[in-house]
Amino acid sequence: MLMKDGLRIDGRKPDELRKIKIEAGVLYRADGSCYLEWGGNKIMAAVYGPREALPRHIQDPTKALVNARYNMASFSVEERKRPGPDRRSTEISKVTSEALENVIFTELFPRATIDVCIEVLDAEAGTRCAGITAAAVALADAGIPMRDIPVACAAGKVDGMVVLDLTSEEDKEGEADLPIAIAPRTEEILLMQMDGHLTYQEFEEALELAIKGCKQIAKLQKEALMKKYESFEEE
Amino acid sequence: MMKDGSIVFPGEKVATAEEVMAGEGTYEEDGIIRASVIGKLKIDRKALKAIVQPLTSMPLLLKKGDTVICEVKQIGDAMVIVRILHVAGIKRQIAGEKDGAIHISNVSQEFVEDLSKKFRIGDIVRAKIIKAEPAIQLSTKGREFGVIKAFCTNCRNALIRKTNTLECPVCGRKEERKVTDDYGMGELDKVIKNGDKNKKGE
Repeated sequence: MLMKDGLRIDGRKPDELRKIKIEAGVLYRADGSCYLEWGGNKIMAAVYGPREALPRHIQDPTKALVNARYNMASFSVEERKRPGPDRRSTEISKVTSEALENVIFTELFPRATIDVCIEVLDAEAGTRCAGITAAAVALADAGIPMRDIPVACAAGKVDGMVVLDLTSEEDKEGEADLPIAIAPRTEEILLMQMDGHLTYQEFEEALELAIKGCKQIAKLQKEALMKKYESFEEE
Repeated sequence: MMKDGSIVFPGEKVATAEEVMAGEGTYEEDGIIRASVIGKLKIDRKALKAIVQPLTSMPLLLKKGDTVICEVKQIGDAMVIVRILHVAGIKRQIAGEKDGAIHISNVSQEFVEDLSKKFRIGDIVRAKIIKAEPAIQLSTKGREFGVIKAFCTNCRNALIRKTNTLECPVCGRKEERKVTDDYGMGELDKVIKNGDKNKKGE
């Protein structure tokens, strides 16, 4: 029983997001950074570069590389996670890099690399979406030219109902999970993955719901950036 | 068109292509000019350009006039090849090309016969960028420019400045360089502006 009287186990409505808190520019040594809390997720993202790509053979003379690294802290889950990259985090790093690459003007920085570090300090379902959302704020904070500020959010199916932003119980017990990342202005899809089964109608419904969720989060991202740079301007 | 001085975010529409051209910090897409960084919008009416002045720090690209710190990589008959390590006064790492050249004619105000009497491989040099495109050209003309730290060609220990020469504290070897006024002080962030006083008294 994951749904009761039209509400979910944590009391949210089907189309309601968890609580999100975003703070930009939290690290001194990184070129851009962001701290994000999304429900039970706590994520730190840092951006370094554009800087010289090394070893030299990985350089691309036409554009910059976007190298995202998603990493979960050993204490981020209930059971201690063995530190270091594994199959899951390698995959998430790859899809995150590709999602971010599509909004950055990489052709402005040939032979360079833009390194994005996403550290999951505390995890509670939807860390890849939270990671991309945090990384996007960190990229904007680093002054890296972008077409748009990307944003990610998940939708899924629980107890036969399409819901937004799954919690860990809903993710484990539910029927499907559909994380997406979009460029909110054009609704261009940067990442889409799916776990479980949805009918075509349900899929369309879930996609629409996730896009709506993304747009709400996009506002929070801009507020967080505004908060940092408004105070900057007064000085 | 958006108002001058308003804060814009990446992807936000600032003007249309009919009104102005896309300047720094903006890009054009389907006839619409959008911001690519967070910043304040400035419409340059004379040049008819929309510019976004960034509020964030920006990726560091080398440009003409920058004071840089570099390491000597190679010495030729008429050229010194250096690797630029740092731009004075800026915290960020260099985004683009880092290799530069100092031509013998830009080493010093005086006549230079032998480059190996002015620089040696491994020396740390403060120089000014005099040309950034297509390849980086540097100059060490002036008292503030030149070697800020040199190493003994015999034993690789840091050389110490004596009145007119540099001396190795370990093996006693004497060497010659094109040194700066503040040799050995470790001043990496001193930005040298253009002025006539740099031209005099070398």
